[in-house]
Amino acid sequence: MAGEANIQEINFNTDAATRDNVLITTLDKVLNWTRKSSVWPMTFGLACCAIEMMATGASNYDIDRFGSGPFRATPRQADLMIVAGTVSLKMAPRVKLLYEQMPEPKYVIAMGACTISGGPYIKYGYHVLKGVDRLIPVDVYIPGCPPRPEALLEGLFRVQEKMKFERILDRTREGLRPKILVE
Amino acid sequence: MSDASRPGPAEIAKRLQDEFGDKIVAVDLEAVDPFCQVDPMAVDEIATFLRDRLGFNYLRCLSSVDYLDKKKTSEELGVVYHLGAIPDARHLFCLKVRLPRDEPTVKTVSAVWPTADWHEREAWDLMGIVFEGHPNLTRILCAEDWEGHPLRKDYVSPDTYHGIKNNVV
Repeated sequence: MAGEANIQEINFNTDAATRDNVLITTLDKVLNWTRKSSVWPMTFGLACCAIEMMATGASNYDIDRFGSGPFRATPRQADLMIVAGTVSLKMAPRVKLLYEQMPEPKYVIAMGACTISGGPYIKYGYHVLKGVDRLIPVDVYIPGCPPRPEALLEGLFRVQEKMKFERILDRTREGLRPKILVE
Repeated sequence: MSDASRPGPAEIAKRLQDEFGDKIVAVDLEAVDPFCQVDPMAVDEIATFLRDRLGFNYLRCLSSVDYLDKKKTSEELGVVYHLGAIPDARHLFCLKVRLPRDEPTVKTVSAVWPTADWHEREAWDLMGIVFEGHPNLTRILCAEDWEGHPLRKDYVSPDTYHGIKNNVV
């Protein structure tokens, strides 16, 4: 084929026009870079952690700097679910429904003590879900009560770090993600 | 209302006793909030009397109480009504009822003070007190299909809810 012949003729070291204009990378890297540079979280706050999440979105901490500014009002457009606040058992089926409505690939941050383990309500909270990972798979846990905006940003970086090393052919992303726990 | 013209707790209790007789079960004027303990089935007419004749136009708070103690000397439930008046902030009184644990039924006061509507729903949801005549006595905080009344002292949390594990590891 003619194309193959042309490729063989290019000498990257000597041909100045090619050297200055061609960039070689892998598809995985490009896709992961685009993905990690536009992580759109869902507008979804359950308790006081959501206040810190709002502060992270506001100008002082400015989550927009890392491409994660547009909090989407629907799960259909979101990549990231930040579970910010105490999940009551009444809310739990709704949280699961929202998670299932998000398109793949999707990521979950469990923000704050309540979301990780039930927090202060673990013993006497008759109506509090004792860790959102009993319901949906969680990628990153952020401890704190509530975590400061810097901590949430660090959690976002961890999600981005995770995105950086994914392979497009690994469609099920097995080994990267736990399964849904409650059917 | 000035201090001189406002009826004190003793006078309020006396007027209630004159009007309702033995429906006033007990009177305690030494308590921090002076109160009358009344018959649960008469609480709506007593409330109407307090509102229309004694000027208590405001229900400050409606609380439910579980009097169960460790020695099992009392198994009763209760409801406490804190009454007030607007704009006279010092015009205060308190009503209490005691209810048997197996059938805790009391007349609703939601027709007397509309603010009691949601308070009574909360007392039903969390303590299981039945308010007779309430227009919509459904759960207000817990999930619709929740079982039991969580703030009772003998309540045991369920192990699972819709397949979600609820136990403490």
